[in-house]
Amino acid sequence: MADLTIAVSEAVCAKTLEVVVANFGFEAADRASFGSFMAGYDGRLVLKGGSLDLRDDDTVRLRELDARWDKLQFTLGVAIPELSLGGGVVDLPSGTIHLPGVTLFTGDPAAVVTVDLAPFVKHELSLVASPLIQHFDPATTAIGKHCQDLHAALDIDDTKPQWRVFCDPQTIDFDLFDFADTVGDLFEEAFTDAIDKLLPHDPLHDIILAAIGSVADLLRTLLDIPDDISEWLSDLFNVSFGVFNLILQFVADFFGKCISFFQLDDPYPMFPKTVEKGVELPDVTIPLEHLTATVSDVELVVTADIGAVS
Amino acid sequence: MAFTNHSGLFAAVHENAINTTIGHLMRQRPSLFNYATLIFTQALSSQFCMPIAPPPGGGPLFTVEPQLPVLGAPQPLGLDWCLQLSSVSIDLYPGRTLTLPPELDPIGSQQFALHLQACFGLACPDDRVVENLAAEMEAVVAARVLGVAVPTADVQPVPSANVLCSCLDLFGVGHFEWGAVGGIPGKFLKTRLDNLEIVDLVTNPPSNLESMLECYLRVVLRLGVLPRLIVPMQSLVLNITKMLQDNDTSIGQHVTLVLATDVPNNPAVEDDELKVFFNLKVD
Amino acid sequence: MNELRSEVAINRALLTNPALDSGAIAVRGTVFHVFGEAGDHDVTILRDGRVAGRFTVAVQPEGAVPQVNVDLAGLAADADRSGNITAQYAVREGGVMGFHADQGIGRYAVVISHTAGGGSRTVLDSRGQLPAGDLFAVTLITPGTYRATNLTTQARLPITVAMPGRGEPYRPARPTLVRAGDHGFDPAAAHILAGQSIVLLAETPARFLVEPAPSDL
Repeated sequence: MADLTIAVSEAVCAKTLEVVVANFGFEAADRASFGSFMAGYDGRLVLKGGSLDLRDDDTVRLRELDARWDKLQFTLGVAIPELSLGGGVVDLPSGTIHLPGVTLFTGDPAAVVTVDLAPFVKHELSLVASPLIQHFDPATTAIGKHCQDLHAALDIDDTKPQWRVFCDPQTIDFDLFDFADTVGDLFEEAFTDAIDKLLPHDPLHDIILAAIGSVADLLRTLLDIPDDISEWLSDLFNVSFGVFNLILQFVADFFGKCISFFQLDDPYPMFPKTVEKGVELPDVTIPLEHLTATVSDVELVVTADIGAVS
Repeated sequence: MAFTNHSGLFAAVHENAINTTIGHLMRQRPSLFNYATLIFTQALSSQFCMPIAPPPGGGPLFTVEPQLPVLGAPQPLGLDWCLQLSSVSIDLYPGRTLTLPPELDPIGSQQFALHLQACFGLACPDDRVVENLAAEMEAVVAARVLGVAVPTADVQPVPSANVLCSCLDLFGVGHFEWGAVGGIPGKFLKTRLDNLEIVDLVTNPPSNLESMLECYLRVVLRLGVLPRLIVPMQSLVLNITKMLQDNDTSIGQHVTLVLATDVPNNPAVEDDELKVFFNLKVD
Repeated sequence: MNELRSEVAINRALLTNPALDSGAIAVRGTVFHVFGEAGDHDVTILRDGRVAGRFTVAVQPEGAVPQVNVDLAGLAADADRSGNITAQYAVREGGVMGFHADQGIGRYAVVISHTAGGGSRTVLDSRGQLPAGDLFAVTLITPGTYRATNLTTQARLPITVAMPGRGEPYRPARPTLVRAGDHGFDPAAAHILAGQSIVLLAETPARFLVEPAPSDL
């Protein structure tokens, strides 16, 4: 029989999950040139809700966590093609004559817009995890920078040895990016606004806008999109930027290596230091060994042994 | 049957763990188990009844106590002594590890048995020292009889190079209970001693010596040793509650630990374990 | 923050609405000359009355392109100190060279001389009349009514320029051809959308002036 046994019911685990999830924050930003356009994003994903089940096969299931973007600033820059008025062809018996157009802009016109895509996409996260025990040694256990920042924010002490119990994800289900169709309207409005701002406010303004035509069509041409912008945007995030994979990796690290559900200092401070009759008596600490964690459908059980006196 | 059938959190410590912990406590805080007069840090440091290993984290080897007074001495005189407790072990109900004396056997439900060895050492002065001191005492008495004022002196130690040791085995029976500590919020787990028995102390004819010693040791344990072993509730459920409490503001709720009430005993001493049942109270 | 990059500038010449004269080519106007004879032709570009550049066009019976459009403002800027332009041009016999100014406020004219056989014969001096077969195209941007006048015959062509309707399909690159002969313009009136072009074909030598109609001045 183990020296120490601590059992935590499913309800208490669920409460602990609430705290862990409240501290989840995935941040990512990137910028890239794709030839005819430039795109960049800067976002922060947070989690909410969800339910926790303990299972008899020694796993913990987190279900239907709502993953939403706190912000998802997306910047798109496209080079406006040379726009001109006039031009065209005239057919004569002697041949066809091509009229040179009148250029509207000089310089390299490019429209850069930044929109917040956060309201247009949401995901659901579910994962099945197994308890993972780690003996944390500040001298040798590596922690990534992002995790260090999170630990500092949560007051997790990384300066002393500890036993840590993680919920290590075995399978992660996360929805791919799927932007709502209405995101197309957002871009059209933003680009129209960008172009509108530079144009003089006289009849030329409306004519140039009419000449540019539907901004939505213009965008589709410039970005070489066969269908609607929402699909193109989803592909950009899922594949070109690879945000989907970044999130999966982060979730795996967050739950599996960064934020533990349970920690025990090792050696464990049983009696704190005290002063008696003017004499300071140091901490009494006990070494812990053989930490294990098992899961049944009602509780998570952690056992440990106390190391021998040396 | 699940551990958490009656509560949100469950913690259990096996008697082996308690005994190992006591071992760590004896190793790291020997002053809790060794009492002696100041001379044992100097001239008599090698004369303990049982040697004391210096604790790895530093700290005193023993608790300094005043000398035993020489009763009736015209000027105060003190004898040096030491008391050392060792071989401390605990046996939780149903208690099959320790062989108890018949007065204590068997232990009842929810009780534990305790064994320890107590060694008492008295620094006994040799005749020459006593004779020299006797001459001093006579001089003091004579001066008083003749009406000469004698200044009051501090307790003068009676030097000795020889410590006489005698050891006894003690058995006790006790129980655990939760209680408040005056002026401090929260509950503490306390160890209570119900009975104590010294083994093998036989006088002829039979007398109250054993009972007196038992009484004295009982008082020492109850008032001197056991109060130092009270443990606050939170320490027993380790870090889950700490994480929840630290974050209660971020999740907008207040989290506290309360003892579960729908269990017959809390804490419970059974199956060779000390078990505690808690619930989380969330407001 | 949505913006166009700051180094972009609207073509300022579009913001004014001066009269367009085939004798003084400016932004929004193009003169097309049809090369009727093979052989080398000297082209002299004049800007505001002064020689701004010269180049040669080789008109070939076959093998060359049927049309070249030349930006007079750009060429004048590229000309060296002696006014020579290094670009080489070749056009097919019967082909067309279009002369226009893409930007700026300069007014240009071209004088083309045929130099075959050692002599020099002027085939086009755009300061005067355009020979028969040549064309003058104008792009009208500001809505309103305009008037094209053939200064040689004094014939007039009313032109209505309308704003494109919102939501209606609109393509600037749909020019309207009008023939100008001894008997006036055909058709007798033109209706275009703002940003589109009118192409005036000189069936007889002509000089064209297109300006906003008097009530719109």
